[in-house]
Amino acid sequence: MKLSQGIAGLVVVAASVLLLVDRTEPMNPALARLSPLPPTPLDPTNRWADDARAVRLGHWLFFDPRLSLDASVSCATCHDPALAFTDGKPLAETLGVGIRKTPTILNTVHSRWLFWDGRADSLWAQATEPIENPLEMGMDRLALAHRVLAETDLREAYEVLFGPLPELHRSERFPAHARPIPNDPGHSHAVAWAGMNEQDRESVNRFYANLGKALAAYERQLVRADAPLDRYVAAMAAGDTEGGGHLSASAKRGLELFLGRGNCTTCHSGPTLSDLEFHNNQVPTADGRPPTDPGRFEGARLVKANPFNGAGAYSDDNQGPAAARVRRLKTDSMGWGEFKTPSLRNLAGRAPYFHAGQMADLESVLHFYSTLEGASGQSHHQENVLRPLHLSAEETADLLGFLLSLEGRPLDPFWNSAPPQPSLDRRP
Amino acid sequence: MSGCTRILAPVVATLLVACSPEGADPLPEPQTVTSQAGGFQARWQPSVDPLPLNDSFDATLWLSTGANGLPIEGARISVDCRMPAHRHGMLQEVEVSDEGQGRYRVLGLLCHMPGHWVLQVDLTRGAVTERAQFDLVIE
Ligand code: HEC
Ligand code: HEC
Ligand SMILES: [Cu+2]
Repeated sequence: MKLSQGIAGLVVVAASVLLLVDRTEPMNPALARLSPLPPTPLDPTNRWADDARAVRLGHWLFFDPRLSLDASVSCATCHDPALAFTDGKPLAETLGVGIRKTPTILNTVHSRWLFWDGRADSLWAQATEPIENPLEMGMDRLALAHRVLAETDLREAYEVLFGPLPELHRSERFPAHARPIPNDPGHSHAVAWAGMNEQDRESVNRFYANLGKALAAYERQLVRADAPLDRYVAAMAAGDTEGGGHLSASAKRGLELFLGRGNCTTCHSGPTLSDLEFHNNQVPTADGRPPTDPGRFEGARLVKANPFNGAGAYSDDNQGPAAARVRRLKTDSMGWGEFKTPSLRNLAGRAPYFHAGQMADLESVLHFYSTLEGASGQSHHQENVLRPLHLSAEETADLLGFLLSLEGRPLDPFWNSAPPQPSLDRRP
Repeated sequence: MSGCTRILAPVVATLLVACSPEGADPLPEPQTVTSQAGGFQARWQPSVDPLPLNDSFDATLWLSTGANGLPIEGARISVDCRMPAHRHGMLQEVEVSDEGQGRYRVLGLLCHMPGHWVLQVDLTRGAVTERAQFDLVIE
C-alpha cells in the first residue's frame, strides 16, 4: 500500500518535472518536415546501388570522356563538381545546344522522378540518356559496348562486376553502331538496331543498364546535408527556442515568409524542399514568345514507355513500389508546361535558375515570385497557385538569407574528381 | 487541486494510449456520406491517420444503397482526389479492387500538396453515374 502510494507520488513528480521542462510550443509541422534530410533511400531496382565496386566504376565513368563518341565529353563536362555539379550555362552545350538547363546532381538520390520533365524514374535509367543524346555525348549503345570491350581497364572493371560482355566479336550480330530511336525509325542506328535479334538487343540493353547502375551507385554518394537550417531545426527540437543561433535574424524572418505569406511550402515541401513533383510556374521564356516545351506532359508519357523504368525487364524489382509508381502515373494534359520542383538545398553554386536558365541569379528568381513579371500565361485547365507576392526589399533580402541557409556540408573532395582507377580489384 | 488534475490528466491519457491494444496507432473512424443525388451511401476509412502529405496511402470503401442500406456488389466505380482551389487532381491513378459484400480496397492515393482535397467516388449503374465526395485536409 505504502509502496504503491510512493510510486504514484514519484510518477506525479516525474510527470510534473517533464511538463515543466517541456513548455516549448510544438514545432510548426511544415517546418519540421523540411529537416533533417533522411538517410539515403534504398533502390531495390538497382541491385548494385550500394556495391562498393559499382560505386568505384561509376565514379570512374562519370569523369571518363570515352563515354562520348569523340571522347571529348564526360558527365562531368556538364555536371562540374566545382559548379555544384552543373555547367553554369542557361542551356547545356557540348556537341550541340540543348533546350534545358543542366540541373545539379547533389541530393538527386532523394528524387522521385529525374529530369525537369521526370522522364526517368531512377538515377540508373536517367544515366542512359545523355550518353546517346546527339546534343550531349553523341554515343550509341553498340559503339559504347565495343569501346568497353576494346579498352582493357574498362573491360576488366565491367566484367569483374557484371560478368562477360555480350559476344561483340560476332560482328554479323553486333553492328558497330546501333540504338533504338522511337521517333526516327529511319535513322541508320535505328535500322541497325531493328536488324538485331531480340536476344542480342536484350544483352546489349542489359550491358547499357549495368553502366547506368554503376553511374547511379556513384551519384548516390553525392549528398550534401546538415545545412544551417538542419542545425537550427535540430536545436529547436531539442528545446532551444533560439535554434542554436544557426539562422541569422534575417534568415529567420525569411523562413517565416517561406512557410507563411510566401506560400513556398505549397510546392517546396519535404526534406529536399521539393514535393518531387511538377508545376507550371509560367516562367517567362528567354525570347518572350509563348512556351513550346511540353515538360511533364511528354515526360510522363516517356517514363511509362521507357524500357529502363522500374517496371521493366532491367529493373531488379519490377513488381515492387517503383513499378507501381510508374504503372499508376497519369499522363493527362494537365502536365503540359509543368517542370519538376527543384530541391532548394545547395542553391548557391548552381546559377542560372529555372528549367531553361531563365534567371541569372536568386534575386531574379525572387523578383519573379514577387511580381510574376513576364509570366508566360496559363490555359484554363492548368494548376493555379502562384500570386504576385509584392515583396519589399527587406523581405526579398530575408528570403535570400533563408535560401542561402540551405547549403549543406561540403562533399568529401574524394568525390570531386576521378578516382585512381576504375576497379577496386586492380591496384594501381 | 485543479493544478494537480491538470498535471495528471495528460499523464493518465498518455498511459491509456500507451496501453491500447498492440500499441498500434488507431485508425480514424470511418466516415459516411450520401451521394449527391441520394442514390447510394459511401463509407471510407484510410489506412493511416493522419493522412500523409505527399506519400502514398490506401483506403477501404464500403458502398450501399441509399434506400435500404444493402451492399452494392461488383460496382463500377472510379475514385480520384482533387484540389479544387488549385484546379488539379492527383498525379496518379488509384487501383481499386472488389473485396466482395460492397467492400472495395483503394490503393495508391497520394495527395502531393498541403490543403483541402476532395475524394470523389463515382458510381456508374446503367446509364447513370452518381458522385459521393469526402472532404480531406492534408497538413
Ligand atoms: C551536355 C551536357 C550534359 C552531359 C554531358 C550530361 N548531362 Fe546530365 N543533364 C544535363 C541536362 C541539360 C539535364 C536536364 C535535361 C532535361 O531535364 O531534359 C541533365 C539531367 C541530369 C540528371 C537529372 C537531375 C534531376 O534533378 O532530375 C542527372 C542525374 C544527370 N543529368 C546525370 C548525368 C550523367 C550520369 C551523365 C553522364 C552519363 C550526364 N548527366 C551527362 C546535361 C548534361
Ligand atoms: C506552384 C508551386 C511552387 C511554389 C508555390 C513555389 N515554387 Fe519555387 N519552383 C517551383 C517550380 C516548379 C520550379 C521550377 C520552375 C521552372 O523551371 O519552370 C521552382 C523553382 C524555384 C527556384 C529555382 C531553383 C532552380 O534550381 O532553378 C527557386 C530558388 C525557388 N523556386 C524558390 C521558391 C520560393 C522562395 C518560393 C516562395 C516565394 C517558391 N519557390 C514558390 C514550384 C513552386
Ligand atoms: Cu494543389
